[in-house]
Amino acid sequence: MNPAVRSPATGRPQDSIQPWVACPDCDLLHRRAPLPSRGQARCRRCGALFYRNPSRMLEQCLALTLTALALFTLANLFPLLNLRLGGREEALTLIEGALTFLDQGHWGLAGLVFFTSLLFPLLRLLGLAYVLLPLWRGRIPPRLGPVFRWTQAFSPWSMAEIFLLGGLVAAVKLGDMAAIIPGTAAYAFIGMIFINAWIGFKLEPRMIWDRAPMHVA
Amino acid sequence: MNRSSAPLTAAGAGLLLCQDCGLLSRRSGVKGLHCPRCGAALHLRKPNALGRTWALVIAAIILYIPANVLPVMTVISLGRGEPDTILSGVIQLLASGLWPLAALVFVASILVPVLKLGVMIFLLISVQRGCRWRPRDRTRLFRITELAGRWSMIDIFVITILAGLVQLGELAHIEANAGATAFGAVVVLTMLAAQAFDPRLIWDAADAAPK
Ligand SMILES: [Zn+2]
Ligand SMILES: [Zn+2]
Repeated sequence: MNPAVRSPATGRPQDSIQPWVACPDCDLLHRRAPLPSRGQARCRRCGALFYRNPSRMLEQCLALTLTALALFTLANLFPLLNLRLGGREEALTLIEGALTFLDQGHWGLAGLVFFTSLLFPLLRLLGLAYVLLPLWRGRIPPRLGPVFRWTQAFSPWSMAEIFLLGGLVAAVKLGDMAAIIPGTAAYAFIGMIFINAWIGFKLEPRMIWDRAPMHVA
Repeated sequence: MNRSSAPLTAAGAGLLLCQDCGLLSRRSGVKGLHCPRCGAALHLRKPNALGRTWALVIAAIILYIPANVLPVMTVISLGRGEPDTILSGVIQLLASGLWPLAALVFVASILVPVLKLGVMIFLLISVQRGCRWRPRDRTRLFRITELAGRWSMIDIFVITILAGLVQLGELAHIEANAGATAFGAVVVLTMLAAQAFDPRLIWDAADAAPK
């Protein structure tokens, strides 16, 4: 038993169970061991990734998150795709693109696209910023546990990268009818997607969970 | 079966694992327990995982039929409407010589949903029959299935952006049809089905003493 392991909130010992980790995929118990920098721990039975030890995780993820938020803002301010036809040029913004079917009354379809391509990616980045900024400064934000839980839950439903690929297919499909020129927002959106992928690669949730207090003893 | 040879699992040690944050808690026998760290509901296994996964898989199979038979969109130009299904969209891409895009849309919209539903049914039946065959590979299969499913959404995005662009240039008018809503529902339902399934059930069956 490790007497140093105590609940941060209550100061009561978290008993002897905290040095243990259970595999989320097969339930096998493992003793938690310190990892070398850039090392990773996997379940010895099913191979699930338990945790990694990326170097300077907090500050790098915070920098990436803030950059992604800035790019996301740009992506919403400028035209996403420009359509050149004859002498005319028209611009389609990201939000217009996502809400095309709203005025046709297909609110289910429009909602699905709006949530997965815009709202969930934004909420995920905002959640990460809310968690990472205070932690980087050595503080614990209020309700860290629930906020980070929701941030993680948005992750599979935020599909900005799939939206972008869909945009590419649509632009190519229309290619023989009109010239489609990517706008400023398209470049900002592409940048945000690469940074999102980078965050996904760098983020180690367990390093954040380790700092979260226990509200109920 | 020799008890000492059974692998030590969290459930076997009387511990509950939070699926959201990884915290282990002692089982107190109280129902409606919540994780002290993140607030998620704690369960030994996801509640009614098999029943809920079956329900979502069956709903997805039912909707898969209209999603592929009904048109997803109609391109109306000069008063003439041309309905498109998912498959006819792929064939058009192929006819224009855009085979990499055709392959992408075919894999994401047609192959992935079918494979995903097939894998989920295989996993459900194997768990229900107490199958002990290659649990590690079945777990890996589940993980890949869980990750790949969201890419099926690409067709919905293509239609949306296509309609937006076409409307913009007043080239034509694109109307979304019921097939698109059904297809979107299939993607969401298969994603929810993967989330409802609990891969630890594969291992519970493998750990159980042979009947
Ligand atoms: Zn495992
Ligand atoms: Zn938790």
